[in-house]
Amino acid sequence: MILAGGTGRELSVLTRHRAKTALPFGGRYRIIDFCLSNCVNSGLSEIYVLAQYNPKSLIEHIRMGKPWDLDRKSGGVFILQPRYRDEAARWYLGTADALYQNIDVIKLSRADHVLVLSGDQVYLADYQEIAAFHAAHGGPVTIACKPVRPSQRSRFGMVRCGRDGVVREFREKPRLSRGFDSASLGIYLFERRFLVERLSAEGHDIVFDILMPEIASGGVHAYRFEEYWEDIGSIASYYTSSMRLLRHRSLITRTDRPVFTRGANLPPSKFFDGSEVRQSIVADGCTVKGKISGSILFPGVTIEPGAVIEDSIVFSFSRVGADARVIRAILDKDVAVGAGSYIGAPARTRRRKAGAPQEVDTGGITVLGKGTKTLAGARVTAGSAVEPGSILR
Amino acid sequence: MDRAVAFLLAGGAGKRLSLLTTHRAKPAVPFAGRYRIIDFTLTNCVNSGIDEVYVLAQYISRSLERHLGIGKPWDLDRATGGLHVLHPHLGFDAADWYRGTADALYQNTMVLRSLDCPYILILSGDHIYTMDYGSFLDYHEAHELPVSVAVTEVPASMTRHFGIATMDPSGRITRFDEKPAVCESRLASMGIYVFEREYLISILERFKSRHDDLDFGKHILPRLVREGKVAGYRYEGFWLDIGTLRNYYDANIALLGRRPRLDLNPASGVIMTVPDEYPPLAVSSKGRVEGSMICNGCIVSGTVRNSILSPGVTVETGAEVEGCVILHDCVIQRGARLNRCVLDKGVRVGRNATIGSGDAAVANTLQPEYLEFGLTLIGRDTHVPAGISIGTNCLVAGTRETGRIPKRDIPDGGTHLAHGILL
Repeated sequence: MILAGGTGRELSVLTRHRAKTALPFGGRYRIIDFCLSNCVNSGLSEIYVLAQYNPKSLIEHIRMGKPWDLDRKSGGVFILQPRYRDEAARWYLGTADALYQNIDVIKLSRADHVLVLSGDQVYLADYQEIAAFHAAHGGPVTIACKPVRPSQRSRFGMVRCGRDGVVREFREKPRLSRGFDSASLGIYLFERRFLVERLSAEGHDIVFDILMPEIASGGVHAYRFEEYWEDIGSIASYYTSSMRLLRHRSLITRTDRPVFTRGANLPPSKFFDGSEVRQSIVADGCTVKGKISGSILFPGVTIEPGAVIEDSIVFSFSRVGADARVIRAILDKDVAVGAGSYIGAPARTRRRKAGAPQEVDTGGITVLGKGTKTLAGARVTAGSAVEPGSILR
Repeated sequence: MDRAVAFLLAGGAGKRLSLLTTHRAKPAVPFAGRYRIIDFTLTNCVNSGIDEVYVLAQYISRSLERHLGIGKPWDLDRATGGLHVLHPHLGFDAADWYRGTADALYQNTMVLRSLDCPYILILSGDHIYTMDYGSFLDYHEAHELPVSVAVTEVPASMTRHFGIATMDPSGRITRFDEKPAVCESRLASMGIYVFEREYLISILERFKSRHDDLDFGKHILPRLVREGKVAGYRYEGFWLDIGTLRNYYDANIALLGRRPRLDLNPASGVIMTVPDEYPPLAVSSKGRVEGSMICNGCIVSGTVRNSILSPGVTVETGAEVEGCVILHDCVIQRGARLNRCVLDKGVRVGRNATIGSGDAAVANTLQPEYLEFGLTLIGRDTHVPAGISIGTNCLVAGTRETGRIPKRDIPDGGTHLAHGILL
């Protein structure tokens, strides 16, 4: 069961039109590709994606599941959205409620275990290793954990474990984290019968309503996952984890754990004479006539002559006009940057521009929402988040 | 009922492509980085609304069948219609290998009879072009002749390589010469035909008794032209029959120009092919890319100029690649220098090896007729040892098991083929 209903508010203009799990990542993927590919690479072939926020982008991407070989006669991938069932019909009110509203699926399954995953994380894992750990330790629940630095601990749900691998205590985003050295990764393996028994109309949250009571009775084990794992929470974390790939591409390109995605069916990328490419990731179908460095281009991007793209991420089919500059920016899909525009320009004055304060702090990254157009010579100040479809002069 | 069903001739051996076709059918030869030659014709079919396609295969068809699968990339995996591969088969009274283009269809008259479409479109799997067969069929319907052939203008210097047609103002072909030494017209037959289905069956049966190696261009077309049965459809766009190693290389490199004649992203719809599962291209801080076309899965830490890299190619630091066509999953190790080469899939070039720098005037010793224009071709999965130098106009292929070749230089025009590789 892949939880994919989060609104991703922290991702600001990038999630106005799409589910967080459908956010493009790493030049050609969507975030949910990692979870789906992990499932397939682990031999799981019956997968339910629980969606509710802007599901169109997600549905379009997954469809029948062909790229993951999940278009099957039995099993395969299914998208489950909140639906009218009885007079108590409602939105998914939390992680456990999403499962509860689909309890029929879990009840009817013939599997012994239910693996609950988050669709908004980037990592390559073999879930069979968790299953083997679970089988060896017994108990109704195993959760995956990863050691994190003290400075990071206030971002996560943290666990304190005993030597035997049993989880003693769980604290959500603790201020004081002594002894709580591992973050829960939002990866839970349940005995199916146990899960069915504990799901209820009242308990909406997996951590508080199912895990916490069970931790008290010593039934939760922690599997230590020591490899690369990212939770894409905010613009800043999206940006840093993307940029990390430029130096550490192998984090998501392991031959034994391939990542599958829906291909764009475009011609190879073409680099013209006079173009320059340094330290960058470029997907297919791009046309590069200008200069790019330290950047990620998704499929079908066009960079006109004289344009300079530095430390930026450009989503599919965006176009950067001649002599434009794009510095430390994220351009969503179908953005058109006019000739000579400057995206990510230093602020002219120290005072913040008048008007409504920005909803989120982008950490200095400039973000242009889907379909934004900037007219020739426009200047967009560093750190702005521009709503989709805007036209900037 | 569909208007037309396509038959795609894909059984030719493509000997003139040398080492590229010793282990694969010509329509399955990779082109323009991520495509196979046959993708262009299949895409044309789909974009023209033809969704029942028969591929006539016979020469090393494994690579072709792997590529085609059940036709999914072209949306040809259908409950009705769809993609079918027809091999030579027993159970037919004249069962044999396909011995000519028309013979291949003759041996499948059972299929032709089973269809209920009025027209049969006969295509070739070796051509690179973007064409709307719908307009061709419209033209055919307007002319009320049982056969139409697509023709295109070629340079006067090239007429001796084609079947050349002369058309009257009404569009009827009045004269047809196969590879003429001299001729007035410059309209070459593209080897693409529309036949009335019933008429095609009767023609095949009528001619088969006379020619065992029944061929459309050689036997059928000249005769039908004399009978005044053939209309000519002028095609104005880019069209290329990948015949020789030279035009294979030139056609690839031509894509690197500012405005190539072949548009890989045409308005009629993108060229469809099997999706790749590689991560996107990564260029490192030391990498340099200029005037090139590069696919997913490549890692460039060296210098790549005026070249085409298929998916999964690695160019290590300090390596230089210029004017090359490098197919899938090759590795060019540190300090290697490549100039005007075609590397088949899976070639590994050892450190500081040099390939292709030499005197283009020295033709290849084994195939001087194909390899005399300054190109070196390295066969599939060959391991080029570190430090050696391979000249220009060379043909090199390592053993099938390990890809090894001896660690010694190969001079201009030289050939090294491991035991068992026959050209």
